[in-house]
Amino acid sequence: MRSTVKGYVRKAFALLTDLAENVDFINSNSTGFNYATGLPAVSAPTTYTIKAVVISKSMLDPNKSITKILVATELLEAANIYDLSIFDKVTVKGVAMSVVHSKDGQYKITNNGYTTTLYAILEKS
Amino acid sequence: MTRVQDRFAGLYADIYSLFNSAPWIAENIKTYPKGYVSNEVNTEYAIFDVSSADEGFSDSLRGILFIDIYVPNGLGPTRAAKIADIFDKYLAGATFATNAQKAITQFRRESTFIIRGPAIDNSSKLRSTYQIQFNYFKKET
Repeated sequence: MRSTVKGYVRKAFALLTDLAENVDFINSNSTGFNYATGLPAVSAPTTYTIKAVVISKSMLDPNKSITKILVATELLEAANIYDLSIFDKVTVKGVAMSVVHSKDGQYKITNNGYTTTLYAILEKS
Repeated sequence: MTRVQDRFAGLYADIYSLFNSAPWIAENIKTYPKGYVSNEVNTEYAIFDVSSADEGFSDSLRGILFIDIYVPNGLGPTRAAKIADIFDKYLAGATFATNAQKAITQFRRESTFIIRGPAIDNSSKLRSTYQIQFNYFKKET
């Protein structure tokens, strides 16, 4: 049954063609907190490019928009990604946004085993 | 009258100086400030938060250092208590002064340690809290 559902998800993503786009998932690779500088210690970021679908984009306030992104969990697992919470940023159509790490409420990262949903915020600087 | 300057950053610098010290690093207890998101996988770690308020005298501060201690759940509270004792060893009655000309941070000898139970967002971890009060004395210039 599980493989059947996965097959349907795979087929659905294939039918989306150009509605699905390459999204870069970026992990800034923090290696600890540097108490000498008061900033996170980081090494070179790691980027994974995965086909994803932008489900919605809405304005939270005049300076902030939130984008809902849907990914086939199978594609993430194929890239050895089992937890999207490790990512700090995503890039959609060349625009970098911050991944929302919320433990409760409507903006939580969810994975039902077949699809994974996450939210990313873009703020005007 | 001159404006208050750098007292909160100064307080954090004093606290950071402990966690940046060689003896603390040798204890091998990963300790992070609240607001920092770690990618590291640690079986035990601590997250600290500082609550401070005006002392009402000479731009000084007083407050509480809150530390959440996370250890594997299911093994009982012993390890968490040992980590709390290590925090006591370095904090209770201790003084930090990264810029002794301007200010010093002194921790009181009394501290509090409470086992809170499984962490709400990760029941594989046992959360306990350690708290200790401090005073940040800003010197007259």
